[in-house]
Amino acid sequence: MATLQKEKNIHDIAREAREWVSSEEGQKTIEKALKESKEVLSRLHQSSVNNTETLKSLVSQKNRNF
Amino acid sequence: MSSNFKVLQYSISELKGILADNSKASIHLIESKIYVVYFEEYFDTLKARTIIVEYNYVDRDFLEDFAAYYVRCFPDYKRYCTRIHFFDRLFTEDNFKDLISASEDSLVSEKDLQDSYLGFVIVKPLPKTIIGRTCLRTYPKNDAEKDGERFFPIIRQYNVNLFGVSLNVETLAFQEQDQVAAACATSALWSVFQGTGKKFQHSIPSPVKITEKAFQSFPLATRAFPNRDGLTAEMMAQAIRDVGLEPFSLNPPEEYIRKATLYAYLRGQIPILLIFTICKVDEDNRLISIEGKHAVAVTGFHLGSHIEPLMSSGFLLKASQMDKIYVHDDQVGPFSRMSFDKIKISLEDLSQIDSISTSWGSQGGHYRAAINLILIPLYHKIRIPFEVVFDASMRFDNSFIEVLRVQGVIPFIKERLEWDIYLITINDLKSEIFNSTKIESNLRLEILSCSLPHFIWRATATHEGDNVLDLLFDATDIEQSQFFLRAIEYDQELSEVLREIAKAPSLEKTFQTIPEGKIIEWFKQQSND
Repeated sequence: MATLQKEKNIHDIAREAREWVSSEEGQKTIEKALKESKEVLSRLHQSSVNNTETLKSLVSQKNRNF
Repeated sequence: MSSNFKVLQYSISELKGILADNSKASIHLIESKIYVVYFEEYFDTLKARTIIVEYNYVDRDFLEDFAAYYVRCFPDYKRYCTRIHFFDRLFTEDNFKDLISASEDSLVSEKDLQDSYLGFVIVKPLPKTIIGRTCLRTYPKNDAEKDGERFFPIIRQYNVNLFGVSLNVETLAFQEQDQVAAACATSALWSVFQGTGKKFQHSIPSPVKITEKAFQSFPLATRAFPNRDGLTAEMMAQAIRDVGLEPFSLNPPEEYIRKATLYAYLRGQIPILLIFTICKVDEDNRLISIEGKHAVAVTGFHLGSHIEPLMSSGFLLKASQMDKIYVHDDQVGPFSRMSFDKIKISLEDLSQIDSISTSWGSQGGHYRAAINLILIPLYHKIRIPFEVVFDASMRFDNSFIEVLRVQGVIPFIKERLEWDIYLITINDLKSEIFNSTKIESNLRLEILSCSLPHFIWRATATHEGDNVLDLLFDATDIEQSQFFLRAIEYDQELSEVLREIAKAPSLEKTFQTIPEGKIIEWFKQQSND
C-alpha cells in the first residue's frame, strides 16, 4: 500500500511538473534561465581579463622557444 | 672480481655522492640543482631506506642520444649509465647477494624487494645534466577526508629486471633535459609520449628523435642540435603529429574553464603539455622580470574539498575542486606540485594576470607560472572538444533541471546537482558498470549490452553523493549532429519525471537548436517506448 501510494505520488509529481513546464510561467522561466546560462558561458569563454594578450606582449620580450 | 652493484643505506648525502661519482658533474653542481631539494623531500615522503646502485646499465634512450651526438664528440663520453634503485625496506649487500645466489640463508625474498620497491633513477655520464629516465612510485595515498585526494590517471607499469629479480613500478617516466638532444619541451613531450604510447599504441621516440622530427618541417629554424633554444609550440605540435596523434591547443581565458579542461582530459588518461611563462616576482607578487618560457607534462591532479560555483549561475562542477596539478618538470622533478592558489601577478601598468605556483625558486627567489598554452595530444577520433560538452551540460542543468528544482516541481531533489564531466572509453565505462553493486539489474543489462562509440564524454550528475544521471556524448561525432548518445538513469523518480516533462511541446521549441534539445528528445522517446 505504501509503495502504491509512493508510485501515485511520483505520477502526480510528474504530471504536475509537465503542466508547470507547459504553462506560460514555466516556459518564460525556462527561457529566461537559458538566456542567463548563455550569458554566463559567453562571459566565461571571452573573459575581459585578457591573460593571453598580456602574456603575449610580455613574452615577446623574450625568446618564443622553450 | 669487481661487483656490478653496490647496496647502501639511503640518505640524501649518499645519493648526492652516487650522482657525482657516476657522472662527470661535481658535487657542488649537484647541490645547486633544484631536483636535489626535490629528491630529498620526495624520498623522505616515500620513506626510502636502501639503495642498490647498478653499474654499466644500457639505457635505450640515452644510447640513441649517445649515438646521434655524444659519440662524435672529441672527449670520451661513456655510453653506459648507472641505475639507482630505491627501496623502503632495510637490507644489506650480503642479504641481496644471498638472494641472487639462491643462498639458503637469504633474509630477503624477491617478493620483499617488489613490495618495498620505490623505483629507479638513471644517471647519465654527462658533465651537467645527469638525470636520465626516472621511474619513481607516485606520492602515497593520503587521508582523503582531511587533505583531499591525489589522482595519477596517466601512470602505467614499468618492468625492471635487476640481476634476474623481477620488479615493477607504477609511474610515468621522467628525465632532465640535456640541452643537447633535448630542451624542456622535448623532455615534456617524451614524458607525455610515455603515457600516450601505451594508451593509443604508438612507438615512443627517444629525446633525440623527438627533437629531430620537431625541426623537420621548419627549415628556417636555427640548428636542432645542440638544442639550446628548445622548441616552439608549432614544433611541439609537429612532434605530436609525427607519432600519429593530433595536437589540440587551447588557452581558455578563465581559470575555471582552464581547470575543468585539464581535469576532463587527465581523467580520460591523456597526459597534457602545459606551456607557461616563468615570472620572477617580489614578496607582494609584483613582476620583477620575465625569466622565459617553460614546458612541462601534466601527469596528475589533486582535488580539495571546496567546490566553486560557476559565476552567478551557481553551476557545480567537480573539476572546480582541483587545487593542484602534478607535473613532470625537468628542472624540478617528477610529480612536482603546481597550485591553483588564485594569486595574480601585478604588472607595472597595474593590470593583473592569473598565475599558479611552481617549485622554481626553492633555492632562493619567488617565481610564478603564467599559463600560455595547453597542448593535448589526442587520438584522431576524439573530435568533440570538452568545451562543447561542458556548455551543453551546464545549460541543461542551469536552465532546465535547476529551474525545476527551484520551482519545487521535483521535490525529491533537494540540493543542487553536482556535475563531473570527463572523457572515458567505452571499455572503462562498461567495466565500471559491471563492477558496480548499486545499479539495478535491468539497467546493467541494457547498458552493458548496448553498442556505443570507443570514446565518450561523460557528464555525471550526483545528488547528495549518489549518482542520479549520466549523460553520454559521442566524442567521435561531429558537433552539428547534436552528438548526445543516451542517458543512464540511476534514479527512478527523477527518470520518471524527466520522461513525463519531456513530452511538453514547449521544450522542443525552446531547446531545438542546441544539444540539450537532443537530451530532452531522448527522455521523450523513452516515455513513448
